[in-house]
Amino acid sequence: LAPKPLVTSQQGDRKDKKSSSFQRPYKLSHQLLCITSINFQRRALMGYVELMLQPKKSDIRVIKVNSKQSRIHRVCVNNHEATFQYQDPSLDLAQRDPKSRNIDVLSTCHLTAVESVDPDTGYHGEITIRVPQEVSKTIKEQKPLCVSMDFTLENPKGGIHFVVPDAEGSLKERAAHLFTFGLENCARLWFPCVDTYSEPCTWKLEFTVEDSMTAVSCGDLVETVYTPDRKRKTFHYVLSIPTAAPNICLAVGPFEILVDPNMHEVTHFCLPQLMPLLEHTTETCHKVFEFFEEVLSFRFPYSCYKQVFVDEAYQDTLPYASVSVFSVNLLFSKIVLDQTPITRKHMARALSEQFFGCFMARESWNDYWVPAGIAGYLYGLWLRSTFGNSEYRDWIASETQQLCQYETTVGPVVLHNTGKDSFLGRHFPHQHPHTVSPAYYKMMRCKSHLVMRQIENRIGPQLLLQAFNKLLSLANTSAQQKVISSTWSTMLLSTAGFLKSTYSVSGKDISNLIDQWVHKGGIVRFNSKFVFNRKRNTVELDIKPDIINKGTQKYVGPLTVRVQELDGSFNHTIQIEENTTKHDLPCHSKSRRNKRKKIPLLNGEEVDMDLSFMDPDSPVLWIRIDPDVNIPRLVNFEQPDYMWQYQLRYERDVIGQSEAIGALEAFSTPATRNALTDIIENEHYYYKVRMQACKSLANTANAMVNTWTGPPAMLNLFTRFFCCDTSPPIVRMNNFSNFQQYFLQKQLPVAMSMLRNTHGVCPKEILHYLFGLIKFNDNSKNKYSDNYYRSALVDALNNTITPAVTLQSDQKVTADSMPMDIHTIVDEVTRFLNLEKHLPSYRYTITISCLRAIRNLQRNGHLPSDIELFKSYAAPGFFRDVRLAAVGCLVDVIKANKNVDELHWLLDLAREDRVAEIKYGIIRALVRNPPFQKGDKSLLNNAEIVEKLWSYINHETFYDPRLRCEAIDLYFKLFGKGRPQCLPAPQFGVVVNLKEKRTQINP
Amino acid sequence: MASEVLSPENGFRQSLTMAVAAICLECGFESTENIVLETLTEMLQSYLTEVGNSTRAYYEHSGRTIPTDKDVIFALSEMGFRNKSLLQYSRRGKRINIGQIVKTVDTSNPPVLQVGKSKGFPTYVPENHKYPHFPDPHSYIRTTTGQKPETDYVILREQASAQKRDVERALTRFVARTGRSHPLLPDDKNAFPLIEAQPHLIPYLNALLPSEHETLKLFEATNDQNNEQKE
Repeated sequence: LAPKPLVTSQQGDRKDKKSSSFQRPYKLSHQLLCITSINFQRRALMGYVELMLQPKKSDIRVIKVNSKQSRIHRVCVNNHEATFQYQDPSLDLAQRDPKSRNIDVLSTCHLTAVESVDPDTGYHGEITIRVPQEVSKTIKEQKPLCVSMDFTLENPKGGIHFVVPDAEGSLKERAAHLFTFGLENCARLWFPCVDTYSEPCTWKLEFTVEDSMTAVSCGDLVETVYTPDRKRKTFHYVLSIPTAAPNICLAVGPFEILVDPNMHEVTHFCLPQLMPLLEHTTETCHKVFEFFEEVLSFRFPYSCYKQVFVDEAYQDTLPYASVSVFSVNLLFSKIVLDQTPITRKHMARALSEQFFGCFMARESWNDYWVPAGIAGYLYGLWLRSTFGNSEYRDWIASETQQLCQYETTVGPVVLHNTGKDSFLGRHFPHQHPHTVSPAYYKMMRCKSHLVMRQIENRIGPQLLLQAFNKLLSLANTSAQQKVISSTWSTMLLSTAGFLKSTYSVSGKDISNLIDQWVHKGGIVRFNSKFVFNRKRNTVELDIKPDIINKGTQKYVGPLTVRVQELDGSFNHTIQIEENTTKHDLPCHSKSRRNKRKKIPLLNGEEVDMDLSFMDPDSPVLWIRIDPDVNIPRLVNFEQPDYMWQYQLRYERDVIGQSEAIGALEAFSTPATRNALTDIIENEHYYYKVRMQACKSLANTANAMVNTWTGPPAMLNLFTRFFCCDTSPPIVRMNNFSNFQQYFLQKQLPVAMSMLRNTHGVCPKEILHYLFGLIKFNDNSKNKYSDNYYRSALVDALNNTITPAVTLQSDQKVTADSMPMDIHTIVDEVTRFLNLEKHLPSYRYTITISCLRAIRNLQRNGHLPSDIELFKSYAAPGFFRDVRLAAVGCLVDVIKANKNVDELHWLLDLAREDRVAEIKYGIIRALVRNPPFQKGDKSLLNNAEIVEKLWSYINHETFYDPRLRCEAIDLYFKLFGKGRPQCLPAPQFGVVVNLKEKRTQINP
Repeated sequence: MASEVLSPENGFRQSLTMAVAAICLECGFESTENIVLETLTEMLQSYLTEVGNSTRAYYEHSGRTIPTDKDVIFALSEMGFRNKSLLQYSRRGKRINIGQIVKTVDTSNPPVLQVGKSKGFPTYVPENHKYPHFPDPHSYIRTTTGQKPETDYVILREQASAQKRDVERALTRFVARTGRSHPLLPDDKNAFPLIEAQPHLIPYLNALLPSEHETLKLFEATNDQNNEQKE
């Protein structure tokens, strides 16, 4: 059955169908998915599905179902064979306008294409089944229908991934396995279904696999039956909780199985040889479980939970109903430090998405923010209870900053779209999960949980949790009902339903909050300064909202301002109104500094301060606007440097501290230097603040290089902390048992290496100090691996590199012609990289640092450019992180050398590589570091690249929406919104001139 | 036959067979079956082996390493052989010459590498002694070292790190020189050879299970032992 081009419906037509009153003419009650055989060699599988439908109308002529990629052999409706049609518009997006190379046109076509088959926007589907005559009577009587479809899937490009290493030996020895994946609703890529979250049903899943393999899927494993020849066995899974098709997954492989020793309903699966890592990685899993169950006062909805770790995963975490698929790269052993919090965070997030996202799914794309927000919010609670309040607040602040950054540079993020404009100034429409840019998707998730936090502030954490509990309880009740009924819809999360639930629990109306942050995009931006009025003893605060810049919006409402005075910390809530920008805040303390008295801080602590720097007339130590980041905002607040310094030293909130560090970069004075040094030295400060202070101190030192006295910044600090007391330049043997100090030990050399002297090069003293650190590094008595520390040292060496004095292209570079220090750096990097071949470090962290250092040496003219080296590491057969690092270096070489052939090579790799994450990584590296910008006159900016990228977006990446959208981002970055300038204008000389050029455009 | 090189075992066996055949001929047999000849040879060999073992027991018992003729005589008489009959037998008239015994190749081990000069015997040992020579002096003579082990921390760290770097550098250079390598400087190929990157079939295994794990296990094992000893 060949895919036929679809005559896409007209724009107006689509709008009509999108009306909210749309209802599917049937209700799905149950689905059977049976995979009868899997062939790993040919990367193929065979199976059938049975959809049990309950008709709601008596005149159903056609049944529409989603399916992509698979070949459908037979369709039967109630055992009567039926004819069917297959139309997939996403196979060729711009078929209506094949000559266009305009991203605006393409994006519109893209939206039309995905919506025309999306079951949420109307009665749509790729497969249209004509109901046979024999069955029409059954429909009239509204009796259930059974639609069965036989399908095969051969060499699938997306949706399901076969990992079959080309090694000798049996499938088990080679660790061959497969797993399903996808961005949002991508289930149609591997089996025919109604691919939407809004159509939950019960499931029976049967997978016949080889004897050595295990099939992991959703729900309960009821039995495992051997086939008559005893060579294969069939896994029978039953999922009695109504679940939508996109939440169904499958993983098959020779897994090693670990039943969690603390919770027997939890099972972990990993590939052969990794069992020790799995045991260690999942050690704390049960605590996360207990935490969520306690917070929600709701039992885990599924009777079991499975964690599967697979190779070549689509992304680090993919949650499905009762199963989470993780990347194998998240596994770690107990000697690895840095990976531990990362993996634990991933696992906790996946678990919170089991409750909200899998058990309770979204009703439509517009409601995506509800499950994503609740899951993110719960994850935040877990983060706070596990890693502490500082970590939590730091996370909130960084998420807010990322969001603000994105919205002000790219465009507003709208969570619930009510307007008609689908672009809002961006280059992609946001109405569908498959058309949004991956960065936007990430920001939506980020904004969702920030909004949920705002709701928490509005109605209180207890009530919010009650509202969650209520949603879950209702869903659970309706999930228990075996007969299909309309109550299954309470398992779906919608904006309206969520608001209703919060209202009934709290009695508070939060619709204005939703209007501002969910229905509208944009963040708030304030420019603010203050004057202290001595006569009236008030702070006259001036807050100017900025609503002109991109991605900003007007904000009216309360805003917290916290003023730290000599007598204590006081919160003021001011009302931001449209016309006033001036606010008077009365001060509580008279300036009576002469009485020596301890100053109370926010947390009740009382400290002695040296008040000699501050203004003698003012009792104000520092002021913070919206200290708890209650709204997504960017604040540009002006206060004198000594106030920032006080804030840095005495503010007990990590957000305030890191804000002060950021602000102090503009004030490079000895006082700032002292404040930063004190922070770095003080072990009571949060380690991330100390690390940030290190970087900031390097910048400060560089800014005041002419007046700097004493040894280079941080040199003595490092010596005091980490070197031998008796023989200072020699670093002590590594002991990472104090984690805060470990992170500081990693950060300090990197920060030091950013120092520059008056000539703009790294001081010799620092460089030789770094050589000493590398030389004397001794990990033999440490119980943790030092691979991250060593890679930080390589990064530090990398940072010291400055451009070569003479850049002559024709001059031969030999070892003797190099400057001495560069020679030593190259020597160290070579040694590190070579050593990794036989003694690899965890996740090849050192190889990655070395590759980047080599590229930096090349970029600065110390080494000749060498593309083959990076190409060899970007090839298949290397670890994912190494490949991505090499790709990043390659992109940089291409950008610098304008290497057309290599860009083609890279784009070919992005098309042909087997691993989805590498393909995505290549495009993303190009987006991050585009080889040229719109309008640049570059050799790379040519028609062939346009063609290649265009066909990549238009039809080659139909199987992976994430890849396609990232490629659209790249196209936009490179050529802008209009027709690329390197192409001939399409309007002129249609008949005569374009004849030959046209052949060029459309080869 | 003679042209073929025989191993000592086969050579001995062959000579024995010939001797047995000669004796049979002397005793008046004209022909013999192979299996009989083999059996008799086996018997003779066993007998001689036993004589040898017994002889060794005698000379080792008296603290020597080389047998004397008396040892053999004792051994034979212990096995019930009348020594006088040996003399008579050797003087018998019609003896058959079995001719030249096939030379076997001497495959004795090459001489042990001698280290140092072995000590001579004391003067009271007569010159025609049969005692074995003294072994090499290093195996039993101990000399005390003159210098004390280094205890200065700085120097020790310096030496340890220098040694570690030398080992690493030598290893990587060796592998880079002997295997396939990629020069970092195309104009100066010997300066910084990078070992060529080899793709792995299952790349995640090496990345997730680095060799450090092994060394750490060893480290922990020794630590545990130490702790146990302390307890």
